[in-house]
Amino acid sequence: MNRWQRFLIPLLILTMLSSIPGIPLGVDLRGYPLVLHLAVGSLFAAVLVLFLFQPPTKLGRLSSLSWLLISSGLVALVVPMLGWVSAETGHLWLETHGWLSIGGLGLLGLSASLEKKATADRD
Amino acid sequence: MRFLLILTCSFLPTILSGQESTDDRWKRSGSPETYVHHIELRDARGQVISGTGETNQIPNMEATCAPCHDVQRASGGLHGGKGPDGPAGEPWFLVDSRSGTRWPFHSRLWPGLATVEELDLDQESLRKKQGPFDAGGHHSISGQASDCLICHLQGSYDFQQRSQFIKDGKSDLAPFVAAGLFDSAGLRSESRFDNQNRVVLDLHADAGPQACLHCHKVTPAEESAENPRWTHAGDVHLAAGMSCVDCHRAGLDHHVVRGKDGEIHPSGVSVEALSCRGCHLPQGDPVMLSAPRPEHRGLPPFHLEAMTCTACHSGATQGEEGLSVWTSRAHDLGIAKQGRKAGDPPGIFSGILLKDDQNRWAPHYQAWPEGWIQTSGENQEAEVIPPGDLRTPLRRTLRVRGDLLEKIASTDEDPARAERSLSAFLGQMKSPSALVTSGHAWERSPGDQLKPISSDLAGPVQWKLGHPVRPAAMSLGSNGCTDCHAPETPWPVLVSQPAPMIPMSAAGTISQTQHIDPESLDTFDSSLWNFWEWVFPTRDLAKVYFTATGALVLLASLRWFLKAMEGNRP
Ligand code: HEC
Ligand code: HEC
Ligand code: HEC
Ligand code: HEC
Ligand code: HEC
Ligand code: HEC
Ligand code: HEC
Repeated sequence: MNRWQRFLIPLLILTMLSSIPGIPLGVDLRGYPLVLHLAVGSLFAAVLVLFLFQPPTKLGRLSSLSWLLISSGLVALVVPMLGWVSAETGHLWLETHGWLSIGGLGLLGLSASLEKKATADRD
Repeated sequence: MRFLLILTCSFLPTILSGQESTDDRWKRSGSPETYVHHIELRDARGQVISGTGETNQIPNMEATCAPCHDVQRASGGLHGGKGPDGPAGEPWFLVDSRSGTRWPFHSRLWPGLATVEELDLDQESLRKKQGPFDAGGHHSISGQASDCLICHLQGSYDFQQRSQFIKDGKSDLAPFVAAGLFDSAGLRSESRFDNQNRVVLDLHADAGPQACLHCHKVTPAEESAENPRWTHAGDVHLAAGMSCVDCHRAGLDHHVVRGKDGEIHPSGVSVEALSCRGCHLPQGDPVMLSAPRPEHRGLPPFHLEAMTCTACHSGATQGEEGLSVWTSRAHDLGIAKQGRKAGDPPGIFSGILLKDDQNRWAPHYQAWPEGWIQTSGENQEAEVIPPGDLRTPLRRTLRVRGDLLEKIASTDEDPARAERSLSAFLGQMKSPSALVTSGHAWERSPGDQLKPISSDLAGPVQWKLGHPVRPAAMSLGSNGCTDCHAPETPWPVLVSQPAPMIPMSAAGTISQTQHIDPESLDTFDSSLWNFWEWVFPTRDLAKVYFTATGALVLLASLRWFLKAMEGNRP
């Protein structure tokens, strides 16, 4: 196991939890949850870089796909942040950021449980 | 450009007119061209006023227009005192120097205002003070008939003359004198009449901004190089050739659209397209193609939900928030007067940020009542004391015959003396009373001093600010988020603080307006706000950080993904 993975998953889950108030469609993430989300998210982004540049021995198809989704989610955030789109369209990009990340997290969970099953089966 | 505007504006008239066309009794030209009014003037009995010869007929507006227009309907609506009250607008102010009273009132049910009855105002005093700024109508507060010409006559309309005639009790004649049909002695200007007793009046549904600005100017009370006088006329829309009536439209019943978000118009027609949001950010088809759709790049979208458009686009420019202003209606602008001073009552402050009825941050005007109240006792509510009731007691105890404040200021070198006199005066009142000023009620306390108590009646009144809309490049946020989110910016101004009318020993020296610390208010989560203020200067760093990490993780994960796909190939 990659030494960064220990931090990675809890940070990812915390980031996800802090974004819950912003999940309903058309609602923006604001207030203290946003502060928390940004704080944890920034840390997560750093750890993610470290993790991906020193990945575990081997990433499965599913888990590598989920990391790809989560990374794309981060890029989707940058688009409105840099002012490349109008404020109205910004909504859509922020939502894309959210759904990509949630999708990635979901897939990660799935791959983990499949892997577990696989190892259990092998035993 | 003007042509383009007219072309695109012509979509809008359909919003409110058309409901009129059902009634066949009234004449219509059927042409989009303005009808040239070459008409007879009539007196109250409907008799035509002859252009020559002896006559003492006094013209009457209703009778003059009634042969061809439904004057009954035209005399209602917003300016006629009818229609829904809706969210608060600018109130009237009773300014009575003899008692130092400056109290906001209105016949509409808006928060914090006194009623005409509470202030014991009679029709005559209302006509004299408020009359010049009342367009008139069936429910007019000053009891005047509608002055159709002030809004519809293009070109010269002598507002000063109108005011004079109204003050002299000749409201009927006033508009005709203002239009130059009668002279200042109240006699016909015979040269205006042709030999069939008809006159030409240049009447337009939209007579241009000048017509409305007689009563709707706003200007900084203190003129200076940094504070040049701006008015509604400085609005970008007017600069682009639009007119007030392009947005503040009406049908014949004169329910002039106010332009508020979520406005409910008495006609039942949706007037959403005539608000900032509805015209610039329409959902679905644009109503006005020439209205630029703003992009607001980089602005987190909730700002457009949490704030009104005017919060960034209207009012005084940055750093001028909380500015003391004069308005036409409160400060008799347009009526020549000597000795105008920046501090002339009532004090009105602009650009105060408050939540509006839609729970959005919006810039407001704010004004504070001043005067005398009967404090609440065992079984009575606190209420304003009408200035009329103060005349005799003030004369008896303080020998005030003119201006109360001048009187107590001129009596003495010792500033504490003013406070003592007023305190003594309060002691003489039959029921427990207090002086309202600077946002507090001041009660008599031992030692002939005044001590502040809180009272609902002493709170400010406020109404939303709409104009002038500044050019986009002068909007808040045009220099970046730090226009608002930075420790050194004066934004937001949440409360204005007027100075007390006389020096008070118990009131520290309060400056005119203050940038109130958000922490003292419950409408604002100040710790969060302060946190963001502190974080914002690092925003550029954050952009670099997220762009860099985003790019790195995307590349890396893409690489691993491709590798995984390759490696797992069967
Ligand atoms: C006109 C002033 C103004 C400008 C300009 C402005 N904001 Fe704001 N901002 C506000 C207000 C008002 C709030 C909400 C305060 C509240 O209601 O608690 C806010 C809140 C925020 C918050 C916190 C959200 C929350 O509720 O926790 C963020 C983040 C933010 N703004 C980002 C930005 C960015 C990024 C920009 C520049 C592109 C910007 N703002 C420009 C006025 C402004
Ligand atoms: C002799 C008949 C007559 C009299 C008297 C008359 N009008 Fe008109 N007015 C008309 C006609 C006809 C029209 C065109 C109506 C239409 O086509 O819809 C018109 C149109 C108007 C318009 C709209 C002009 C535009 O730009 O479209 C206004 C405003 C108006 N009248 C005001 C008045 C006022 C105020 C008075 C009284 C001082 C008055 N009128 C007296 C016949 C008259
Ligand atoms: C003689 C003075 C006078 C003239 C001229 C006048 N108004 Fe007004 N206006 C008033 C008064 C007084 C009120 C407040 C009415 C009320 O609150 O009942 C008002 C209210 C308004 C409001 C509502 C303000 C708010 O707070 O929402 C609008 C909009 C308006 N006028 C537009 C116009 C337009 C457009 C014109 C020109 C066609 C015009 N006015 C001409 C006196 C005038
Ligand atoms: C406070 C200003 C004001 C006053 C006073 C006023 N009007 Fe108007 N009037 C307007 C506005 C604003 C419109 C709407 C113009 C538009 O939307 O094109 C209008 C529209 C009209 C129209 C055209 C309506 C239509 O759509 O066919 C007529 C006719 C008219 N007014 C007559 C009168 C008469 C008669 C009086 C006096 C009894 C009067 N007005 C008083 C402001 C005023
Ligand atoms: C481009 C459209 C437009 C034009 C042109 C326009 N207004 Fe307005 N006006 C509005 C809107 C929208 C509001 C309501 C703002 C709000 O409360 O959100 C408003 C508000 C007002 C108010 C109440 C708030 C305040 O600032 O006092 C008055 C009075 C007013 N307008 C008068 C006028 C006058 C007089 C003119 C012409 C000199 C004019 N308007 C031109 C759109 C316009
Ligand atoms: C937080 C401040 C803020 C708020 C709230 C805001 N704007 Fe703006 N607006 C700006 C700034 C800054 C600009 C100029 C730079 C830009 O276009 O992004 C601007 C530009 C504009 C322009 C000019 C666009 C062009 O292409 O010429 C329009 C029109 C406009 N805004 C309308 C609105 C409307 C309508 C609303 C309400 C729904 C609104 N704004 C709310 C800050 C704001
Ligand atoms: C009926 C439609 C309409 C309404 C209502 C309206 N506008 Fe506009 N607005 C326009 C048009 C048309 C223009 C373009 C004028 C020009 O040609 O420069 C414009 C231009 C602007 C601009 C850009 C000025 C620039 O520098 O380019 C701003 C900012 C703006 N409006 C803000 C507002 C605000 C704030 C409100 C509400 C008080 C408002 N508008 C209400 C039609 C409207």
